[in-house]
Amino acid sequence: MGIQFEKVNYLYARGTSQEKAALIDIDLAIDLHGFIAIIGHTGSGKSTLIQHMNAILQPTSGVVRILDKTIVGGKKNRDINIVRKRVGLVFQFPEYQLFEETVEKDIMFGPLNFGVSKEDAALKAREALKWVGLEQDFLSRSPLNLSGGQMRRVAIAGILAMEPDVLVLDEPTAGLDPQGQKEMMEMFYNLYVNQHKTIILVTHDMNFVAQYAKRIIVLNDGRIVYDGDTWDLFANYELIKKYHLDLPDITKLIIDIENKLGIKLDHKINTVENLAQALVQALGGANHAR
Amino acid sequence: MLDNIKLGQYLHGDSWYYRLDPRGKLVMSTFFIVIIFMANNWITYLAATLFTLLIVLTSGVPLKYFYRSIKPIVVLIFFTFFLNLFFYRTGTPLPPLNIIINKIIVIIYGVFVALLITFRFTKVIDRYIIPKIFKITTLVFILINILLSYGLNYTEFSWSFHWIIYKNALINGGYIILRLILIISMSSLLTFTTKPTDLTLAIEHVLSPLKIFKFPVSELALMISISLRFIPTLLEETQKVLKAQTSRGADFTEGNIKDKVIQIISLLVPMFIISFKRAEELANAMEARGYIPGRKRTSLRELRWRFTDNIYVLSFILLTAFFIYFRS
Amino acid sequence: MVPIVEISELYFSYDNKNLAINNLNLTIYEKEWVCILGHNGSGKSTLAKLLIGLLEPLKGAIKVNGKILSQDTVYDIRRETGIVFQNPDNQFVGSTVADDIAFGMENQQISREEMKERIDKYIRKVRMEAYLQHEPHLLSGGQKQRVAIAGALAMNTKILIFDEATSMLDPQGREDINTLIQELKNDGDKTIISITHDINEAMLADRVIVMKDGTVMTAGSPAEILKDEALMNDCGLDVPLTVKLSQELKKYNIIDDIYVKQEDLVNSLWEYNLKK
Repeated sequence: MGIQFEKVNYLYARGTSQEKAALIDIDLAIDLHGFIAIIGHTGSGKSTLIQHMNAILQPTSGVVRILDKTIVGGKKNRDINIVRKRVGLVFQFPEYQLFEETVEKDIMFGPLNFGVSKEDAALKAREALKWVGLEQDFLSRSPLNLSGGQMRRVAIAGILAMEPDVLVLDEPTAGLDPQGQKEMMEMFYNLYVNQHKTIILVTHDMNFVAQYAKRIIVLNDGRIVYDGDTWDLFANYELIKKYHLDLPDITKLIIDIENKLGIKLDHKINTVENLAQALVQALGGANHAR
Repeated sequence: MLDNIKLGQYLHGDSWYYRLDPRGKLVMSTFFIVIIFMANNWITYLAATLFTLLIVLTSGVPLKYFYRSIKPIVVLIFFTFFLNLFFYRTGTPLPPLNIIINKIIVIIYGVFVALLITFRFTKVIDRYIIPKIFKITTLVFILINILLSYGLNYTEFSWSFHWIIYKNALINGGYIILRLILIISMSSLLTFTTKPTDLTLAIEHVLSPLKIFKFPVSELALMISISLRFIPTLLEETQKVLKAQTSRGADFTEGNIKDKVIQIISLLVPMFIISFKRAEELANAMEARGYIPGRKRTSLRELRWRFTDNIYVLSFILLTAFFIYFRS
Repeated sequence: MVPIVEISELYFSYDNKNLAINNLNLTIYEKEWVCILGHNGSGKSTLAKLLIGLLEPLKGAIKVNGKILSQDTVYDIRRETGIVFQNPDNQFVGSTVADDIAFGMENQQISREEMKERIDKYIRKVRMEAYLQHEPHLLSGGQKQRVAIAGALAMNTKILIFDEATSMLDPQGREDINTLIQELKNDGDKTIISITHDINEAMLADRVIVMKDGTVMTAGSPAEILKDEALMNDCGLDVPLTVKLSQELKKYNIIDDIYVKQEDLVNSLWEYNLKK
């Protein structure tokens, strides 16, 4: 179970002069309950890839298995709507999808579309609002009179209320300030730990990737060029250079120190405390003379 | 989907026609529509056809594009032609046709119209509606047949579909077809070879006399050009919202009317909000960059009137003179 | 130092209830690069809009280049201030790159020859010369922002405001814009005001102004401000990693100062390593 891609290809603008392969021979297996990051440059195919995960896009060739549903490329697949309930996809700037008069109604939109009764949908809306860390008195407010960060939380609650097993997030922290970004990431991590959701995160922010994701998938020109442990990737300088990838701030700092001082440090060091200790050791112990 | 967005109909290319001043092209294309109605006999129509053909063939635009722009209105053209056959009743009647041949013509016409309607609709409407369209097509087909056969079999009702074709009706119908094709070719040529921005600029220049009457010509032109510039952006945005709501289980192809209404609202409201936000931010940006409505502005784009433009205009005047002299 | 922007006792409210700008006093000097730092909702973008007269203050005075902002002077003041907004799409007015750079100049009724000259000059400055005839939907966000910068530069303004110009860009686009701002600073003939919540951007500025609840909390050099953990956290911001590492290393007596710039921290470690 989970999500599997088998030899998936996707052609963009098929049959026109602008035809372009957005995904090439993607093989991928994602098991339930994980925290996975997908990274790559703008135009590398990240968005196309995640839109296959809830069948918003269907492959030109190959097979995508989403939970118990199989989607075969180049064929007409029926009754795919139901997978969207189980794989919740949160687009970039999701606050733009809000349209109802009240927060409650907006959150209920998803559940109602999947045939949940009004009473149950209202219950789910309450629940979802809790998960995104908003007070219950938001329910009766207009979603359009909230701050940017609150609107985004409401939009995410709209997806959570469908009770998906998998939550796919496209740049969920874009445009927020540092505090808001941190809170947002904490929220997803909580959903991963406490609600046992599978989180698939598309982001440019390597600090968050380093902090939360155990597994990382790197896309480059429509192909998967790395799929494995996050810190193994960050420690692999050749790969980072080859695909012009960004590094977490701490790794950049480590490399800078290494180059200037001519010492060797462990590239997998992931906290400031550990880095300080490693430096003390490399520089011959703490300085008691002063 | 909306993957392949093309702004206007502009085709990249280069030829003498591309290099013409858009003002000349715009005014002459309009002028052509007026003077083509002066043509009323074979010699004037021949002249108009040769004239258009000469321009089209030397313009560097592949013929298939003209064919493509005529195709959508083929139905209209034939419809007009047949209406003309029914209602145009001067001149010598042609010998009446055999009743069976008559019927065959009518049936072929019915099938033809039905197929065209089907074809037109299935192209734009989602594939889920195809079965429905087939039902409608069949219905339309049967209706046309009944109507026409009625007119044939019971001569007392034949005032409407009296199946005697007059010679002039045939000739006139031919002229109508020709005229429509010529007009479409000339106007398509204008949009094929002129960038929307240049066309906007030409409109601004051509309408500039209206400024005397305080008509905001420059503002209108700026409005058109900004609208054109935002079409791809808004289409992209629509697609995003569509996908986002689909991810929330909205199904824009199935469901009953009540569900459909909510789903369409879920698309429209965000689009309105996004458009308003864009408009506001754009207005701010324009104001910050010193835009004051009504204030005189200079223009980076420049239109150059060359010698060839004179010749181009002169050729239309000559054509008009020819029409005046040779029309009957 | 010659003051170019002087703001005194400024108040503003969107809804006549909550003050978005609350008794704000600020002076910005000619040719300095000032970074206004604050979390979303701290009033920093409102300040930018007030500065160029897009919003009207409830109370208080704004003086730009010696002129007090009013109905009569607002157009003159806009001639002195170029601004690059947050959303790359919503400030691209022209139908091509060249048209967009020209838009501001067209408003100032600059002659066509002069416009062509300036476009040619500034499109090179922002390294977009290969895209002169491109339409906006074929450009990336970073490229659109570069065009917006060229458009602002072409108006030859004394002041250049960046209102969260990098917050919607990918890391590549962000780096391009930040490099460009640094180049403009080095050219030395503009006053640059950048509004941001990106501390890496703030680090490069001459002076950092921290805003909270519509007023200036404090101002000072990046080195002073960014290492003040209590202040930064209070304003919903984070201190740079270099500051955190400095604090740790200080415990071991390896360094004895708190460094904001990575270069300085690494240099200090290098010196320690040599002395040892």
